[in-house]
Amino acid sequence: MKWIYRRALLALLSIIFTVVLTFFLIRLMPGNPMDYYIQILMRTGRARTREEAIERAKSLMPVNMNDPIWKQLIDYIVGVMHGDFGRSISSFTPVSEIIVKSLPWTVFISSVALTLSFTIGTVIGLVLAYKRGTTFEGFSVAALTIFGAIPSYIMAVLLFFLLTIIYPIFPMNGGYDSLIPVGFTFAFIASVITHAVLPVASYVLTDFAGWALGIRAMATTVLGEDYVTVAKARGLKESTIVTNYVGRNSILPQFTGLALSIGFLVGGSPLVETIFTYPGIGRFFAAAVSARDYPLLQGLFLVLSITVISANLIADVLYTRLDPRVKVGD
Amino acid sequence: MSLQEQCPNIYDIDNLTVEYVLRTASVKAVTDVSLDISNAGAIGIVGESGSGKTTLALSLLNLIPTPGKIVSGKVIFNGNKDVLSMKGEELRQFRWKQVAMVFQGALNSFNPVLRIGEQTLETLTGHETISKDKALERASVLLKLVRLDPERTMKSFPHELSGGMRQRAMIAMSLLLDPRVLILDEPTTALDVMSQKYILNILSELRKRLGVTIILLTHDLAICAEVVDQIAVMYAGRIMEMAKTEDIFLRPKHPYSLGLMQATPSVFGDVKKYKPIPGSPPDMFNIPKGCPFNPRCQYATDACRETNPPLEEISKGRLAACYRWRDVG
Amino acid sequence: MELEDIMGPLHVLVENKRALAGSLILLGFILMALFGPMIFPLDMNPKFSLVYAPPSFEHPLGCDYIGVDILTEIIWGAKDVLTIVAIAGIITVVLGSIVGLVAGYFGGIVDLLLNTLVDIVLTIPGLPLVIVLAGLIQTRDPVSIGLILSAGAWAGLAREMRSQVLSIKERDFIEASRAIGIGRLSIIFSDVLPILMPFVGISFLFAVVQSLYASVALFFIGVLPFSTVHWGTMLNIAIQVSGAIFVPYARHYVIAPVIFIILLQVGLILFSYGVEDIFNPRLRT
Repeated sequence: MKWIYRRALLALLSIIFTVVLTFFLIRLMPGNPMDYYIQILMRTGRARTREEAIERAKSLMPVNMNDPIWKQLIDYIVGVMHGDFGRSISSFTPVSEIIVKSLPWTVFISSVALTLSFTIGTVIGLVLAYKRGTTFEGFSVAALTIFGAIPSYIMAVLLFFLLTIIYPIFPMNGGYDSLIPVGFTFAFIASVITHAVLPVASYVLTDFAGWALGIRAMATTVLGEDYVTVAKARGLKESTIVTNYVGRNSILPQFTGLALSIGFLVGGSPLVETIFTYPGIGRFFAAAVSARDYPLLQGLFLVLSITVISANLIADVLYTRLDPRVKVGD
Repeated sequence: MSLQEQCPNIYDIDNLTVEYVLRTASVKAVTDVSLDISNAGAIGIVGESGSGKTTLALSLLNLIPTPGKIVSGKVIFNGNKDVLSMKGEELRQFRWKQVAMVFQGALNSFNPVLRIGEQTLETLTGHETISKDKALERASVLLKLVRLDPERTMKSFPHELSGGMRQRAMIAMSLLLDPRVLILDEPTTALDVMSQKYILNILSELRKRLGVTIILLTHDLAICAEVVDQIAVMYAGRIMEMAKTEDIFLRPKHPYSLGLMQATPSVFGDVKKYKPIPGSPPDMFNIPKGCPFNPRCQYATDACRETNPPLEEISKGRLAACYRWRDVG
Repeated sequence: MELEDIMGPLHVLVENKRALAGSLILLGFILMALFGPMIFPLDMNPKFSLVYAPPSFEHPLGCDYIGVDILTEIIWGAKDVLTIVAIAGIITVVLGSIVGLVAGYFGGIVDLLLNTLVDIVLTIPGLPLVIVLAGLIQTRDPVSIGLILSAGAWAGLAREMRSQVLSIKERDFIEASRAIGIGRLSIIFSDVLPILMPFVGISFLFAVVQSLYASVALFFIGVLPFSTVHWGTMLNIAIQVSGAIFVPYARHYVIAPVIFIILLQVGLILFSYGVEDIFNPRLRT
């Protein structure tokens, strides 16, 4: 039990650290953030007079810039606990609103992609482990290594190019066809799926290789273990051996890898989403960076980090339930 | 008793040669081994690590791992089943039901992520249709036989049991399907003395109560004395001598067997009399010409260094592979 | 350094075909970066007659959206790309190793503090952190960029380094050094570190691969004030600025940087197999 408390404490510390870090990040900017906001607000027409600009600038962040730093920090933390992450300069909408709108899309494609990569990778990895020593295996491993080296955004560029421009099979952008009304209609759902195919494919085609190689390495070790030989001696069916003996023991270590992928689940890839103009949190992230929309950037980063940290905590706890050998307590 | 069950030898091994083909070279783990194992008997196969005893045992189940190949020879079970040509479903059913094996270091013989109970059920349901209750019942009886608490053991994961307990659980598991033959590879190595005693007692009991044939692989002659009727001594993949336990201990007729006896310090005897065998174990990639033991043998002659002495019957039921067996001892 | 010290590793590299391929690729890139600019002058003046010109003998990779030769751009870009990732790799490895070594060897409070720090940094999502930092710290200096790129990566290395050190710490010859009275720092650098060199070498290569991915991403988003010929910038311009990706006959402009990025990554990974082998003493004799 003690271990869980330590782990939770670590998560809490990480969150606090991230909040403080994010708070101070904005001050890395040369010059006064307030002046910068006022400038942008007036330039983009979101404020017509300087007074209005000052007013609006104040509400961009849940802190009063004139207070001493330590008070600002406290206000910021309090604001965060209430879900107030400030507002975007470009659109003046609250960051929390933007997150609620975009996060589901990212989680949607990222989780589908992760599930597919993991499953496909596991099957391929197991097959390769069984085919150890054959030329097919040697060739496949090399191919997988190269495939796995390609980053997802490069794959995205290639897919976009190939399948929306040269052979216009898939739609170019968006999460769904904006002409179709939102709802549980077949047309809408179909459109969501077709718009999701390429982004998901960009992830899966590059990620599955990593999982496959990992499982293959583990399965090769497991195949050499005594209990597999004993299982054969016990006259167990081949299918039982592959699933319960080789499969389960090979997959277990991969779960740590899955846990590490949680960050991906929540954040997606800003680049892939940008290339496909997919309305996920990653795209807003990239847009915020290019537009120098610092409040939005900070807000997104903070939410992202907190979610990842919490998800990691949950994953760690779950893992101890899965592997009977893990002794709880470092 | 049917005609089948009257067959005196449960295993007839004829001229078995097994080779491991590696990238750089090939190693003959077992060379030209012929052995008859009597039904309901107990035989100990004695030899150092690398002498080929494990490979020999694996061939009794047709379980030689991949780089290994059966070069020649036959293994006949119960007078009519050619073990080495069995495959698929027939082989799967044969394994564990007719012959079971407790591997060396049962520490890693269990699947670490399944409980003992689950693995027991798996074994049973893999071979016959049996209700869960009956299966549990049978398992309980066997676990009690090896002096383990059935309930606690079945619920545990392998890593929750001690080495000795796992070894005994493995023995119980091996008896689940009522096999005719039980092979044990170094069942007492890496165990403390108390556990060793336990296991040897259990083995004797098993023989008495279940009439199971026991094949014991070990480098430790002492445990042979307690359990087996016959001993076959192996060296560099060949059988050097085969005789009744008593004969091997008191009147060994092969220099290697003699060396083994002299190398074992006795609890009672004079420590000065303990004499290790000179030289070092054979390099399996470079087996000496002629008799493989000749570099270390005090009786070696030129004939020994030239040709390999065949395994011959030197008296009723006694085999030795040595040109000078008459002079030994 | 005797002849043997060089021939040994070279021999291993040549033996392992994948490593050989990797080394050749890397060598090619390094030569490209070092000597390319001297051989192929870069003329950034727009030539509208050559906009999106297809590959030809004069322009082997064609021309970009303002008529500049793509191959030349790639060659000039190689220098920026390689410098940044090399620096980032070095910083990541140095930082991670020091933290890992100190935490692992000294143990106690030092270990606890450093470990907690590492754990915290590890949970912060890597690429977003780098993007945020890069967006806020506007810089053109390759060393600063390298620092930004290694912001998250050093932590993973530190953790692995620490576990390696922990397992080595108790080995006999370390005990012996301690018994003789050699100072702790001395032990760390002359006894422990040499054993870990293979690990450090491979980690460096992977850090470089990671940095390549991250740096291209940064330039692609346009968050760093760009060097016009960095491959990531080329992608940025190709896709977002000039819309070349929407123009089928301009495909070479998009594909060219992609191919070279992939090639470099492949070269690095293949080379890492060779590094593994070099440090495996059993293969060297």
